[in-house]
Amino acid sequence: MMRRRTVPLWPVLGELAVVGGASLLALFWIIPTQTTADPFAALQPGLVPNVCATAILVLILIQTWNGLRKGRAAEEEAAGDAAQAHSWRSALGAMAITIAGVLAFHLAGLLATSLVVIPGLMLWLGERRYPRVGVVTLCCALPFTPLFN
Amino acid sequence: MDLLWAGFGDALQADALFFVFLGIVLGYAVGVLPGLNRPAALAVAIPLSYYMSPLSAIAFLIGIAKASGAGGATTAILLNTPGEPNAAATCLDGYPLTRQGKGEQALKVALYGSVIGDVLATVALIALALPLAKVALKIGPMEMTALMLLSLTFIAALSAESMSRGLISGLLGIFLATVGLDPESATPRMTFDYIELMDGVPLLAITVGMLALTEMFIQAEEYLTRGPEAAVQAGSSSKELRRLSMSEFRRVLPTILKSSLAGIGIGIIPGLGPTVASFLSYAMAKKTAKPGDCFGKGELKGVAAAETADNAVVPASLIPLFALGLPGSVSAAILIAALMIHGVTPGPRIFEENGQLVYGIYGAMLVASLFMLLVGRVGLMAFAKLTLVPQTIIIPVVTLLCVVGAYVESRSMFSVQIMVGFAVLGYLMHRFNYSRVTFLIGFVIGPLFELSLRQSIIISQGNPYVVLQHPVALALIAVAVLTSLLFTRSRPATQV
Repeated sequence: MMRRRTVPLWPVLGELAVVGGASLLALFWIIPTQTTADPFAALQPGLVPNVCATAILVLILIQTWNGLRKGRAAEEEAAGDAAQAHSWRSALGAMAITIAGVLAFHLAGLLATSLVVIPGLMLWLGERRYPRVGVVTLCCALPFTPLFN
Repeated sequence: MDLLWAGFGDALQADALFFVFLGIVLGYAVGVLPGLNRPAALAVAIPLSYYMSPLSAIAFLIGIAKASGAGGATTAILLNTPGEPNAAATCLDGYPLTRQGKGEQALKVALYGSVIGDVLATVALIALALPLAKVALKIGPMEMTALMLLSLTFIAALSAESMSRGLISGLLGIFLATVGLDPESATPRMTFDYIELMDGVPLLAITVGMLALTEMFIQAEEYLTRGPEAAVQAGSSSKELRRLSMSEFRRVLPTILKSSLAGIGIGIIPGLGPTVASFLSYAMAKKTAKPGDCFGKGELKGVAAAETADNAVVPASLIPLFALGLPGSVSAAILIAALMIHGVTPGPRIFEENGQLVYGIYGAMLVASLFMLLVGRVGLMAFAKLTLVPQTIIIPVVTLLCVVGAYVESRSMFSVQIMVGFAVLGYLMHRFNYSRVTFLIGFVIGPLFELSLRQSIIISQGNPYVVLQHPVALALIAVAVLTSLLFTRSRPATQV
C-alpha cells in the first residue's frame, strides 16, 4: 500500500553533520596540525587541502539548504524502511566478513583469509551446499597460499 | 615515424600478444559473469599487471576494457540483465530478439558492431591524440588549471545525482591526493606520522577498494534483497534464425558507422561515458528508423547502435588522456593509475618521453580489436555458458582477489587496510549518491592540478588579476561556472 509522506529531516541533517563535521575537522584540526608552513614556497602546503575542505563545507551547506527548502515530499512503500534496513544489514554482513578476513590475514596469513572470506561470504549469501563451499574454498586457498605464506 | 614502427613492433612481440589475448579472454569472461563490470574488473586486474612490462600491462588492461564491454552484451541479450548501465540500451532490442530465437544473430551483430566501433575509435585516437598534445604543449599552466577545473565540473555534473554531491566527491579526491610529501617544500602533509603515507595514499588500494570491493558489497546487498536473477537461457533455434546473412549485415552497417562516430564524439568529452553514448546512439538510430524497422520489439539495428557506441567510447576516451593527461572516463582513470604505477605520467609530454610506448599501446589496441573478433566469434556461445556461474561464488572469489591485489602492491597490511577502508567509504558514497567515479578522477588529477596551480602562482607572482590577461583560461572558468549553474537546475542520469 502506498502512502504519501514527507521524508524526515534526519538524513539531510545527518549528511550535513557527517560531511560538514569532517570538513570542519579538516579545517581546524587535521590541516593545521598536519601541515607545516614554508615561507619560501610559492604554494603553501596547506593551501589546496584548505581550499578543498572549505569548498566541501560550502557545497554541503548548499546541499542541506536545498534539501530543507524542497521539503522533499515523496511517495514510498509502507514497508520501505524495513526493506532499506534489510539491505543495510546485507551489505554490513559482507563488510564484517571481509574485515574479519583482513584481521585473519594480519594474524595468520592469506590461507586464513581464504578460510574466512570464501566460506563466510558464501554462507552469508545463502549457499547451503556445503561440498560446493568446501571445493570453492580449497580452489581459492591453495593457489595463493604458497605465494604469500 | 621510426617510433611508430618501433612501437607497433613492440606490440607484435610474443609477450605483448599473449597479454592482449589474455586480457581479451578475461574481459569476455568478466563481461559475461553476472555482477562484474568493467571498472571492477580493471581494478582487480591492475595488481595482476604489476609485474608485467609497461606495454604488456597496458595491453592487458586495454584487452579487458574492450572485451568486457563486448562480453557485457551477452547477458543483456540472452538474459535481459545488463551487467552495467551502458548495456541497458542493448536489452531493449537484444532480449526481444532472443525471445524470437534470434539470440545468436543479435550476439553476432553486437560483436561486429563492437569491433568496428572499436577499430574506428582507435584510428581516431591515433589521428587526433598527437596533434592535440602538440596544441596542449602550447597551453600555459593557467589554462591547464582552468581546463582541469572545467573537466572536473563536467564529470561531477554528469556522474552524480546532484551537482553539489558530484563536486564534493571530486574535491574529496583532490584533498586526499595532497596526502604525502609536499612536492615543493618536501614537508609531510596529513600523514599522521605514517611512513607508508609519505608517498601518498596508495592509488592501487583506492582503486581496488572504491571500484571492485565496493561493487562486491553492493552486489551482496542486491543479491540478498532481490534474490538471484532468473537465468533464462536462449532457447535452441533453427540454423536459419541463428545465421547472420550478408544482406542483414549490410542493412545494419550504416547504423554501425553512424554509432561509431557518436561513440567517438562522446568518448572525447570528459565525463559523458559509455552509458550516454549507447543510449544516445540508440535514440539516434530509432529517430532515423526506416519503414519496417521495429525498434523495441527485436531490431538488429538497435543492438548494433548501442553496442557500437559503447565500445567506441573506450579508445576515444584515451584521446584526452594521452593528449592532456585528463581521464575522460573511469576506465581511462584506471589506465592512468596503471601507467603511473609503471612510472609513466600521462599528459602532453608522453609523446616526447615515452613515444615508443604510446605507439606500442596503439598497436596493442589494434591487435586487441582483432583478437576480440576472433575470440568473440569462436567462443560466442561458450562464453554465454558463464552466465550460469552463481553470484554466491563470484562475490567471495572477487573479494579475496581484492585483498590479494591490495597486498601485492607493497606486501604490507597497510595497503589492505586502506583498501578495505576505502571500500567502506565507497559503499557509503554509493548509498548517499556521491559519485565514486568523480572521486577517483579527482584523486588522479589532483597532483597535476596542484602542479599547474603552483606554476600559475609562480608566473603571476601571486597576483590573481593576471588571470584577466589569459582569455582562454577565463573562458574555461566561465564555462565551468555556467555548467555548475546549469546542472544544478536539471539532473542527468546517474552513473557509477
